[in-house]
Amino acid sequence: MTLSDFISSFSSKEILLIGTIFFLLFMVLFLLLYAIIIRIIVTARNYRINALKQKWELVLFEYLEQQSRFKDIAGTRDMNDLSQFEIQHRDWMVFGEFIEDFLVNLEGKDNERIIQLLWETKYFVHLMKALNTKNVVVKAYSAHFLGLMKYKPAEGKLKELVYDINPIVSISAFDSLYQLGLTKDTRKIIKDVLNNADLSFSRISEIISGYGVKINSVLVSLLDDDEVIISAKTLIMNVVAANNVLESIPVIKKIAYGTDNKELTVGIIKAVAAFGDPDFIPYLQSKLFSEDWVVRSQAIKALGEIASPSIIPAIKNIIIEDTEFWVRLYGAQVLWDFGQEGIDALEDILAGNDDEELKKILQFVVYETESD
Amino acid sequence: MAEYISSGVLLFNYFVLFYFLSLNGMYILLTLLSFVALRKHMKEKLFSAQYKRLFHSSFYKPISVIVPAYNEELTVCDNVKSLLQLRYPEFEIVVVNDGSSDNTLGVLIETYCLKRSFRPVINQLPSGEVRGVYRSPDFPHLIVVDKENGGKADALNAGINVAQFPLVSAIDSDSILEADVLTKLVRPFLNDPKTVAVGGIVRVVNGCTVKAGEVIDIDLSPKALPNYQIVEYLRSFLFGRVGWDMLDGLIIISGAFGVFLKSAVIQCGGYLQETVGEDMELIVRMHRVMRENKKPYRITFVPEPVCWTEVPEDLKTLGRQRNRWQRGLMESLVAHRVMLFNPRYGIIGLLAMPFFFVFEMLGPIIEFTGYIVFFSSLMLGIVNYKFAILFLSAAIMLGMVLSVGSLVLEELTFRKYPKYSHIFILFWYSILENFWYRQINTWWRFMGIVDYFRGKKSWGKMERKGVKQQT
Repeated sequence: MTLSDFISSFSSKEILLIGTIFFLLFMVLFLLLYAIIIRIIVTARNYRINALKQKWELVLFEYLEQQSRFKDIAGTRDMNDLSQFEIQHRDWMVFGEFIEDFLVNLEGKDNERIIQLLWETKYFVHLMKALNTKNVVVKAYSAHFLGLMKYKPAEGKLKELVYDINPIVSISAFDSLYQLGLTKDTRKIIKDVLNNADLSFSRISEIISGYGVKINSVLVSLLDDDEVIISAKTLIMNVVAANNVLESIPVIKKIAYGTDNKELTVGIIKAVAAFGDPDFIPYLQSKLFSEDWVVRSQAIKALGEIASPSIIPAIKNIIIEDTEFWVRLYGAQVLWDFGQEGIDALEDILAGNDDEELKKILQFVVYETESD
Repeated sequence: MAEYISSGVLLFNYFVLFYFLSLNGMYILLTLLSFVALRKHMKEKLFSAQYKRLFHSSFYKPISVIVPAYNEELTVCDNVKSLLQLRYPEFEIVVVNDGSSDNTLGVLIETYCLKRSFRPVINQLPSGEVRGVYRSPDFPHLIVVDKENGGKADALNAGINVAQFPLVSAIDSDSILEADVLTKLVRPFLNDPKTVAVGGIVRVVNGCTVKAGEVIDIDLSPKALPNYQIVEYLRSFLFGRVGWDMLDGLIIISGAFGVFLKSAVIQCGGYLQETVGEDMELIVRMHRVMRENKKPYRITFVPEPVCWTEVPEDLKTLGRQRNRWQRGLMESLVAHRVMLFNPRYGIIGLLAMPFFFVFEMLGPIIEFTGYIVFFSSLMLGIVNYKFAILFLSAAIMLGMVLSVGSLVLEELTFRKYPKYSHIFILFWYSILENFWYRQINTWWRFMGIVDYFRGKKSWGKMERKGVKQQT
């Protein structure tokens, strides 16, 4: 049988299948080869980068020890490539990764020297250029690094990037603006970021909180702004409580008596507990009768933080009458924390009550407190 | 009559061909989606430093990690030790001894000097009677719940009833977690307040060396069977789950590790006790309840290796496990059949559930019947033997492409298996699995269907060999 006879013994469907098999076989081998090539490339890259970082480290330590210019040291060590960041350098992001730890961890004069180094090598040229790229990671990285460098000329572009549709870029830009310090637009930017529900609220809380006292007046005014959404106000409430912004108390009081929103009310109660302002005791007492048990449980906890033992009878009543477990448990903990007067009240409750749940709650409060 | 049989068989063969093309078409689509998702994830990972800073602040969500344990005296202490080393600002470990007949509770009490606690059990979810709650004076964030036997779902519900934090994580007691797992899996909850459940990638620990509850040396198993499962897990997680997540159609979060919003789990009624596939059932029910109540929600997947699990090393145990998985799948799909092809449930009703129904639930029946009809047709001469062999070869080759594809995804992303030889060995297993492992899996799953109709509810015994420990 000749080869052509052999081939012609297959139908067209069978030939199609044979073609498919060979294609798939090729794919299998190609994928294996691809996996190996990736491994080789990554290993080689990691090796090269580690070697590069070791070289950079030597020059950097020498630079930090002396007063010479970075470029001069790099030049004497035959490492001119290090001083060439103003032109396209393929390892510019690796260099950033390397220097970031020093930038973040070194303080005082050493930190200034690192920033000086970045200026000297015109590292910001790359970063500024990268702010316009379509690559989200490069863009976010550059925004982040310009903030670390405290590079003021980037401010305008960073403000634009706060409105980027990608949350990583947006938050990196917002974070960097914080590093650059307050500007006249800070209020508007914070308001816009807070009103953007797609962003990470926890991360934003962290950044805003980091501004410290500088941002207090802005936060207070945002609390009083009707255009700020409820969840954003709750977040601000967390931050002002964490930063003990006492000037926010009048605004919080105004909001407290004007809202029925559960989320906001819980935020207010937590803030109030943190401030410890006894003026809020009547407000908290009114919330002990809220329809929502979460509000009631938070209110009773907050009263424990703020009120004097004169509140004991009110809490005692709640423990007896409320049907929600957590409200009763927190109430019992509050009474226990009041010391002997509270313990007497707990004994009173137990004496006149056969409620099994209540007994368990009290056992728990006593045991947990003792074991702590 | 012979003609009718012949055309019937031919028709069935065409049906199998159509089924085969649709299934693999879907697999290829999922692979491509996973490729895009993983690339994006790896890029965004560069910014994890931003999240690390977050955990030094007060704006995080504390977690209760719930660990059901049934007859785990051999491994439970090591696993708890590993869990106590998790890096997270505020968490508690709630071990639930589900009425073990061995000395699981005893070894826990002895090792961690547990003392009886009056910590309340709030019956928000149905569970068996709790006999006692214990706390460790040395490790205040370790809680042990002793309850009467009721199964894994029951134990998880009891754990949730005891848990005090807003997020709960359900894990298997033999799972070894990466130290920063909670940080990774909590991120979606921080980024998107609508998030109710998050899963991650599970890896096979057999062959690896574990020291103080941490995987310190990653290697393949000297035994063949776990290595087949490594390839299988890579395929299942790297392109199965990631791809479905891209489509917003994730209906499985592995029971080995997942994080949930406690209030959402309670709202959905917790874990269902009458099923052996409680992990999948909960997720499907969460989709159902959230959509029926028109609540915005998100169930997502973090493509990060977060958890290591010990897989069966003998065919008997593996067969029992696969049988159970199949029954669990069927129970979930049958319980929520109202969602099938129902536009009210969006992509879940229109794509994810039908896919799992046709390809995962009915798949073993179609494949098993397909093998019988195919070989019978060959013997009876109804199908051209040359065409048949070529078709079978093409099907096997396509299976190989998909398996080797998952190895490439692993190389492009995590590269957890450090040696070059690992690539070749896993490649070898991804070839070999197409010649017997997949077929025997079909048989186990087929028997799972049979057992489902017989009403079998048992889990089957899972033997733990314990992993290689370095002291």
